[in-house]
Amino acid sequence: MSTPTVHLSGVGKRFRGAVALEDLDLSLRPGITGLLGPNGAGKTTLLRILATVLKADNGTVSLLGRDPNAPDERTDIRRRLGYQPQELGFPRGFSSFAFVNYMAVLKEWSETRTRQAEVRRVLAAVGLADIATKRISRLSGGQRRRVGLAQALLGAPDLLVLDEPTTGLDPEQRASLRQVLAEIATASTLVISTHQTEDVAALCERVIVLDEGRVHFDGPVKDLVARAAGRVWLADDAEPSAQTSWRTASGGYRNVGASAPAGAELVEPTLEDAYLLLRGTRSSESEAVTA
Amino acid sequence: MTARARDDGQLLSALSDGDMGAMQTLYERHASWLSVRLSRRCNDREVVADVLQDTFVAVWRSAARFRGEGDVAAWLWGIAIRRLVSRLQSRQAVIVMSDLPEDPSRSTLAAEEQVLMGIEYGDLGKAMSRLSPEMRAVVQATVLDGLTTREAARLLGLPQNTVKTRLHRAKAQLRASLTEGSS
Amino acid sequence: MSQYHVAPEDLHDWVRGGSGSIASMSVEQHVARCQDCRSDVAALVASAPTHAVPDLADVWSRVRDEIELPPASGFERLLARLGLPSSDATLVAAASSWRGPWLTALCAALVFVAAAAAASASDSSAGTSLFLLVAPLVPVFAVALAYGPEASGALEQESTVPYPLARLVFLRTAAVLIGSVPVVVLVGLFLPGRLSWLWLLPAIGFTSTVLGLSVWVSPMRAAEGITLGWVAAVACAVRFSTVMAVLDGRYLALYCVLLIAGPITLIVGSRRFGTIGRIT
Repeated sequence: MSTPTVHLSGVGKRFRGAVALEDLDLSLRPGITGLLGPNGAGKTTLLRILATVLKADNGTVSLLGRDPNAPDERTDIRRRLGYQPQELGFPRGFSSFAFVNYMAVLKEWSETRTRQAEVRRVLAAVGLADIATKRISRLSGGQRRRVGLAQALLGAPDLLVLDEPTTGLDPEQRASLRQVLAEIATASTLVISTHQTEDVAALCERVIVLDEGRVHFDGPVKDLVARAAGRVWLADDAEPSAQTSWRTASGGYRNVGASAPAGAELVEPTLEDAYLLLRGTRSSESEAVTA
Repeated sequence: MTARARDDGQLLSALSDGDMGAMQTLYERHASWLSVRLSRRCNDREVVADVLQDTFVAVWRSAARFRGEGDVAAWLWGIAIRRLVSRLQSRQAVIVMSDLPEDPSRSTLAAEEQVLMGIEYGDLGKAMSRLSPEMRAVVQATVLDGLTTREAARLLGLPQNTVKTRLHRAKAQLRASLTEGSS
Repeated sequence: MSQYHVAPEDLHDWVRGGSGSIASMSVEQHVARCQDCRSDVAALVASAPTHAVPDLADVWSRVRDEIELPPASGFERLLARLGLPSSDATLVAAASSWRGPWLTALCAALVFVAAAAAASASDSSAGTSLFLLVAPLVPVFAVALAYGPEASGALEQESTVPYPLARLVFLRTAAVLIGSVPVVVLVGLFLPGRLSWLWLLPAIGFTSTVLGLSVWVSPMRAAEGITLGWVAAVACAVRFSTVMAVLDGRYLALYCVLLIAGPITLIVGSRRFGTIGRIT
């Protein structure tokens, strides 16, 4: 078994007394892992720890086989790391090209020609080649997110940490983003946090569900979906026994609950159903299923 | 290829906003004819390349100033010829006065030239063909390329007064030919 | 728009440089007004290169290289001439968006101080006090406004790069100081005695303190704190003795300590914590 790219053990983090992460165990290998969870679950904190922006208060962290607490090893990690933060910060008056060029200098691309070629490559990969010379302040939210992604892709990093890369993107842009990420995932380890279960379903092999700083699920996507088998059914009305139900386009009600009543019309569960079920049960024992 | 290609004015406003794709399209449309026209005034390939580069960089930086007055192509040429003039100020470049020696075997071509000129300029073309090459060059630089006498002087490597005199004489000669022709 | 177009052979001749001057005038005047003929010219040039016409693809990539990045400001070109590698100049440029308002404020402050010093030429203590109050704070605010990762707005991304953050900070600090300190020094030369250069010690000492403190607090906070402390110190000196008391031997020693401790704290701190400034 090869060593995992990312390994966290017993990791905790507090901010002014409030617990952001608690007793977290995590192992990641090449491929795409999705991070799901409500706001305040600790997703961004976890991603920042993976991106060496924050230090964990306790526990051990190993990234790309190195310890981010040791300064020299941390620099090594950062050489093979790409991070897209939730909010893109950029110097005033900069165009996308100028900004990604700036980040490229910080990522040690000191030779001008190769650097400019690399900047063009990542901007083309996210579909911003034509408007690369437009000021970032004049770009839409979705376009800014892509600038953030472009700088994360510099140097084809082995560990790519993306905080909500699909927020603000329309369906077309999401589809092309998925394509870009799928290509990268063949050799690298990607961690993506998102609110959209469809993104995870379409893109990720593994999913981690986080809530209140703890892992509630960690395993293959299909395993999580399988948990909802037999627990999603259609009916003419919203069932009181169901955990959640909503009206479908065809007029009936889709119910998700602990168990379907006998003889109910069962349907194939989606990841969204499984996720809602999981959130609803709020199981206290953390079920970490490592593949 | 988009179904409805943008016209030059639209390209200019797009690229003044930072659209590199529009810039590239504009370049692909105009770089060829501009460089041919430039190379007929300066046969140093490197100088033409530099002037072409300077021209399009200037277009990028000043596209907002175009404001839709007149023809984009003419505006581009105006920038290009002035870049050439300012470069020739500082460099020793060989300028060719685009003309061929009279060649008997090309006499049929002369007739075709006249037909060409006839369609474009009518009698003016005939009158022009009667000017000497030196005077024609001055007329081309000032009237057709839109340069001032001073800029034309730099382009042709002549003193400004010579340019003024030749232009004056050329215009007089043309006027004479045209009035003669119409009577 | 006429239906007239240049005949293919004539266009061909013109492109190859073979047509006479009259014909070429005609062709040129037409081509300048006709998109279709321009496309034909483009096709002709592309199909067979002419010796006089440059390599258009090559020129395009040169154009693109030149316009992709905004033109280097005068300040960046100065730094380049001073020997700074171009990639480092790029890093400095990120903070340049602050320089405009900063320089204006600096000039205004200096004019004010110089006027005050000149106005009180006979009794120099008021002018001296004013200068001693303002001058050391000038580089402090210059640095606080322009150097930190926060100033570039990209703090979070900058905390994940292999580039040493302390070096980034020093680079920007040096660039900002080059821009602001000489002006103040010039003004200082008009003042009498040791004052004209001794004020540099608290100035640099405080600047270093801002750098050192930036490991924990934002540089503006540090600058504000230092300002309060310095104003209090100068006020006390004026009240209880002369303003020159702040330049006493023991205080000079303190400034020297600050001067040395600041950068060391920054280097050590940034290495230990792996980041500069606060991310919440």
